[in-house]
Amino acid sequence: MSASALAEERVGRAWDAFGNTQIAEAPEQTANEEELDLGMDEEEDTDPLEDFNRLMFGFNEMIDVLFLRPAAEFYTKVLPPPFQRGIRNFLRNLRTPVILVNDLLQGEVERAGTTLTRFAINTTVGVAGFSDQAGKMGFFYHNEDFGQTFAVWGVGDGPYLMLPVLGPSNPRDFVGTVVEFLVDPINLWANNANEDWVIPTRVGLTGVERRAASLEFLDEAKKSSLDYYTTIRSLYQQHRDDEVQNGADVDKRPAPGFSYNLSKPGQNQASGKQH
Amino acid sequence: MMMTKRYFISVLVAATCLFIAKPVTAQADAFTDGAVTFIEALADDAVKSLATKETAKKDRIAKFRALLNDNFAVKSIGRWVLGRYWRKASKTEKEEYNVLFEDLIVATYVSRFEEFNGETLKVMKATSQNGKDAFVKSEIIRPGGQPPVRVDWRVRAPNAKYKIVDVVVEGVSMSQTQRSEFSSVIKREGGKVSGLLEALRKKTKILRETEK
Repeated sequence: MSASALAEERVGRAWDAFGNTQIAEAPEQTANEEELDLGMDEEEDTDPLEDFNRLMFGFNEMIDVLFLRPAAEFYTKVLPPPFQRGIRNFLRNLRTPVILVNDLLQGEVERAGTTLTRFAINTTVGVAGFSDQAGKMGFFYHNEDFGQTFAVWGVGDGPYLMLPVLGPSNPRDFVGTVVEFLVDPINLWANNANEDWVIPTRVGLTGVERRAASLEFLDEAKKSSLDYYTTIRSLYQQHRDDEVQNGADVDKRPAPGFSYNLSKPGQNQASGKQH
Repeated sequence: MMMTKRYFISVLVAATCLFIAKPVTAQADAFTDGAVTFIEALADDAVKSLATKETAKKDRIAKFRALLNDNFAVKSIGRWVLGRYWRKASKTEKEEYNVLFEDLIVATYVSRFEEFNGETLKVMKATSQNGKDAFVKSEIIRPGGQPPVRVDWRVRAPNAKYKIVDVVVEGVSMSQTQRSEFSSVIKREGGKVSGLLEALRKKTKILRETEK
């Protein structure tokens, strides 16, 4: 059971322990006060590397202010929104092989079908992936990566880890990132064909595009949060957990101690595919 | 007449949702059905009163605050977010915390309605595992082939009146995020709730100035 999935479960259990009486806006609480402890003590463990992580977070903030953010702002100012969407669609289409392989490794046959359909439509009708025609037909984009596959295979995420430049991660997801980089067909081709510009261009463009897409959201988060570092950590952990579960109903998520296994790949599928 | 028509339509929409939800939900009952209707009505209300560009900032804040207190269990959420530190807080600290917590929510979310761009909320179904919490599933429908944004509402009805206790956007619980954050602030302030209050005072100061 991964720590992030545990964190998710904790939300449910903590609300459970909170009891209904408290929602009735009772002025003072006595009986259930004891239960308020539930979940909070465990949470102390979610960030054992906090000191290191905060240091890296500060470093990343510096890199962001100096390079990434200005680049992202330039990108959004120079390119009209349709072009920005085009580039995002193109980059997503390039990741098709990685998404497809991970759909299959997780036994998600139906999602693999969606990935293939998207690729067929968008590469042709969508002009080399620049236009998300498949999305308009209801074949929506979804993200898969090796970190999620490891999670489905039962690998725990390990401690929260702030990586320099790459940002929020954990050992499991970091290994996933490395594996993706090594097996991505476009990267392999670029290495073989000695097309040295391909990988740096793609990595750089992806970074700038992702930062540009999150400009407003992160500004809002920073503005409203009391501790930006913790907000980012909590958002990352909950978001990854949600990605691993493919958006399965929050109230149907597995209880602690439930471990995933390959023989039952469709566990979270039925409820996750509402669209 | 206009109101009656709108009301009729929203009831119709809610009824349709219930009809669709019935076969899916194993234990569809009055509790979950009511929860769906509740969220439907709230969304309708919020769009009508908040998503108008003409409204002055001050009025918008007042309207948002009223909607918030009517439909969310604000004090309970605040208490849950503070977790075990609630017990450690003194009576005056608790009182100030309640005020500041509400202000923080208002300050955080009121501006989001200004960016409203004709998105629609599609309420789909509600489920309940324990008969106490109902999860109302909904989606924000966006234009241009973008995937819809999943929004789940955790709803309870202790006094036969529905109240929202958590909003989960794409799997991210708003309450949980704040809970982590507050607990981190308190820990870094040596376990003192007063440290959190000071941080909250600073954060909500801007809002108070706008509201005057």
